[in-house]
Amino acid sequence: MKNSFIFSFLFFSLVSFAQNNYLIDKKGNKIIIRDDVGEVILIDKRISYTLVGKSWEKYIKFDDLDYAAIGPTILKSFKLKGKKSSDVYYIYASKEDKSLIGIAVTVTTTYGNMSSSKTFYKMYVIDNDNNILDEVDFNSSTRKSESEERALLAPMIRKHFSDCPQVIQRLSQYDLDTDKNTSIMGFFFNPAYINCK
Amino acid sequence: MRKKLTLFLIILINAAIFTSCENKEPIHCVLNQTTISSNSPAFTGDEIQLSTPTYSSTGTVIYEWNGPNGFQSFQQNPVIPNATTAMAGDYTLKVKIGICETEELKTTVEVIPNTVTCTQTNNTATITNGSYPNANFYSFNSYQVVNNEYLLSGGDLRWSIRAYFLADTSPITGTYSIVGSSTTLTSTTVRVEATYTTLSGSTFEYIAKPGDVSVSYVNGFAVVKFCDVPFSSTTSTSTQFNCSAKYTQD
Repeated sequence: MKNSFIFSFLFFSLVSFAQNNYLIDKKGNKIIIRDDVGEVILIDKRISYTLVGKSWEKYIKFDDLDYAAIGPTILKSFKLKGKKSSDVYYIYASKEDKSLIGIAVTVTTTYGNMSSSKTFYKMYVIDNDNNILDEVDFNSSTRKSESEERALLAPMIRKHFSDCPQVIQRLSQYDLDTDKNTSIMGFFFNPAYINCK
Repeated sequence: MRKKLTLFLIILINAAIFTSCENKEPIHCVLNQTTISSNSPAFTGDEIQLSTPTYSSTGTVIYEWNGPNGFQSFQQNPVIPNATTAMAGDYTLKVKIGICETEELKTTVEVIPNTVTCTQTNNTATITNGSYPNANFYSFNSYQVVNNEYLLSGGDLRWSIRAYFLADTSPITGTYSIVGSSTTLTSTTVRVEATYTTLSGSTFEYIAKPGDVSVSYVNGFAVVKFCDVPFSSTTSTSTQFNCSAKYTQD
């Protein structure tokens, strides 16, 4: 119930401040971000951003963040039940009793002068008390196991959000019959918030 | 003393080696998705065009391309001139923004030998062995005509050159063999027609005799080219003139 109120507040705040990007920290402070300077980037459990009227970047730790409204997206810090620490996720959609949250994180490993990157994808359906109802996680590998895991994402979303046409419509753009189920990864990169309430 | 110095040098060298190979802490970033594409297949002698959307309009971004034949570029959309078969293969891109970098994206480029190799200025036709003027095309058409044929044509005040392909969309890059009007088109053949209009308004129809036509793509537009192809009147088989032409779909 408490979270339901928060989501309603988030949605109306997003509408009210449609022209602004901003962060709300755990203490309730609102930080307005310049929307004309670069992107807001999440690096190593921090969000980098640029303040209005300033030209240098600042950072806020995930632990200190409540949520960030960036364009049509909402990034929120969640301490999911069963997880050791808070992590930041995009809220893709929410309805009265559950939310669809997820994130794609690219991990770059450097070895000498060489580096390699791999992207890891996590999507959860959670209830209003941050209990995980369903989850899928995979990486971008073409291995059979990852491909099979990717195939589970669309059914999971349909199972919980079949009554939300906007979510199903967006899902249909990425749930294509592609080799190794790679197209579904595109869903993660279209995180504009959908309010199904 | 010498022993100690040698030992010190060995330690120093080992330290240098291990430091250079040090595995740094992995960096975790949430990045936008990006894509890459090319104009593959490309003909030998033509350009290979690699492209990716602008990753960030304001941030400092490094585009790092690597490919066959020692290719490396830091341009967003590199162009490789004079393609050879050694340049065929996988091209990769990493986009770096600050300390973050994307996964390596890959696109495969095919380079196919070009048998249509004359030097012809784009959007012109050169007429030889006949008393006709050359053409400077300014009018272009490309559309599906009846019978699943696709037309790519160029024209000026006097000339209209029309190439018909068996396709419902613009034909793929490749070399097509010219066939006559009585031969059914296939996926590897083309029919080429020409119309000449005199100053008084009289028109004369011609059809190309056997030869080759190449189709390639530059910036997404089809380029039609043929070299020294004989044309005959539609009412006789004798050659009336030879024509080399090159024009780009508008």
